Amino acid sequence: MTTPFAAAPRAEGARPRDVLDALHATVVGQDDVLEALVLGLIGGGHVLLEGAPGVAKTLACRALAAAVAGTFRRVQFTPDLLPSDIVGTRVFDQKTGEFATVLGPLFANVVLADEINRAPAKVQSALLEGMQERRVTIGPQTHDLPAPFVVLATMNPYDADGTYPLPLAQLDRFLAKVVVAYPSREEERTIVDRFGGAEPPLRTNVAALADVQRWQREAHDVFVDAKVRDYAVDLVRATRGADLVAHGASPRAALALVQLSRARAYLENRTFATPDDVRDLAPAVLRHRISYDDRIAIAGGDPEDVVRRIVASVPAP
Amino acid sequence: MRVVVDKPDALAGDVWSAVTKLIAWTALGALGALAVLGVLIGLVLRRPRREAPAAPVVGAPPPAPRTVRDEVADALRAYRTAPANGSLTRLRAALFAAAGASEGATLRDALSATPDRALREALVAAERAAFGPAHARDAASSDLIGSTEGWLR
Repeated sequence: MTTPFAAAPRAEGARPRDVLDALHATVVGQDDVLEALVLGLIGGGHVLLEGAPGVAKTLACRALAAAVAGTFRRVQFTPDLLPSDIVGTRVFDQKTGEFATVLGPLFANVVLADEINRAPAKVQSALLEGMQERRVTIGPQTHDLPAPFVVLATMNPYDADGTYPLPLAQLDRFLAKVVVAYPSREEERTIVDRFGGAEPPLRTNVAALADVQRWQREAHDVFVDAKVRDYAVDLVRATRGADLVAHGASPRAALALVQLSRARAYLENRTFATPDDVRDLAPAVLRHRISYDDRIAIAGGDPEDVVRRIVASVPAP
Repeated sequence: MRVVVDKPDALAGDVWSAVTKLIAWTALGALGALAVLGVLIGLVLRRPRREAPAAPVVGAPPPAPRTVRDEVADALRAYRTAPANGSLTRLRAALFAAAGASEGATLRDALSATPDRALREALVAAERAAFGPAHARDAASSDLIGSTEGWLR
């Protein structure tokens, strides 16, 4: 989306828009998904991607890690995964006769947790603790995770056999959840023409890690008017008691909505967030924080319709 | 030969009686006429008076229906006088209505509802004035006034 507002002056250096452009150079279409990844980076939050296999979820995450010149680790979650496989462990060094700490793949700037719902709850819990605390304890020592630190987790909505659904409390840790849809026919044709089976090229080192940390600081200073904050709170509160909703979103959702709106304003070179930011980002913030009524499954309804209806029911300021 | 002469008193009495009767009947007739006249006058006075047709007022045509521009102009006047939150909200709502956006809509809804470039500028300025940071409010406010005036012209 292009902004109708004049650009705010920013410090020299790479800008988040450069990273977004780099992602667009690699991934065809999926505008909302790519924007959500960059917003997660700016907002310092983690993003959950849900989509069918082959819709460029992993590619988008790899492209993001390459663009920001950070370390990237991919962990394929499986039912036999152990917490130590992602966090790290202590091994006995026979030469020195001492225990040495081996850090797990969680120690990276961008971590791709592929098919997060295929690992048992213990592993999910270890990952989500790291996501929340930004530090992990291995043996007697606590280790800080690198900064910036972003977890991008993917989930396949199909093949539910043998999966471990994430509890609501753990889903709440994700700043946003984006639904990765199939590309349009034109986009799919472009994919075939552009890549022809070859690995899509990644744009590397578009921005430094220091740039990302600066964006996070500057985005934190984006102004959010009281009326816009009220709107965010009203949207979250509207989820509670809404039709076909068993449990509404927590207050953390309102915080996430404001945080993500700040990031969006920053991405668009604005010094303030608008009601449009809040309304546009509300589905990504709310959809995974709501527990839906069983009647949806019985009637074959779409939870997305519930979220859309809730968002539409609250007038913007 | 016999001559009969009437008594003069008897003759005088008949004349007097006739005159008296004449006067009485005349008075009675006059009273009757007066009574009829009174009744007629009463009837005339009791009839409802027909309103005189109003003289046509020159130079005062019937008031024209208010347009969205009138609403915006009024809201702008109020905002100029007292640029506070209330008047800003009113002006922004008037601009949204001028664009054809419904209540509770966002800026994007309003922008997509109108191709009018001057109005779009005013809408963007209103958004900045309504939600922008405090230190930029003065500039945003004068921008809003200028762009709204530009659209009203």
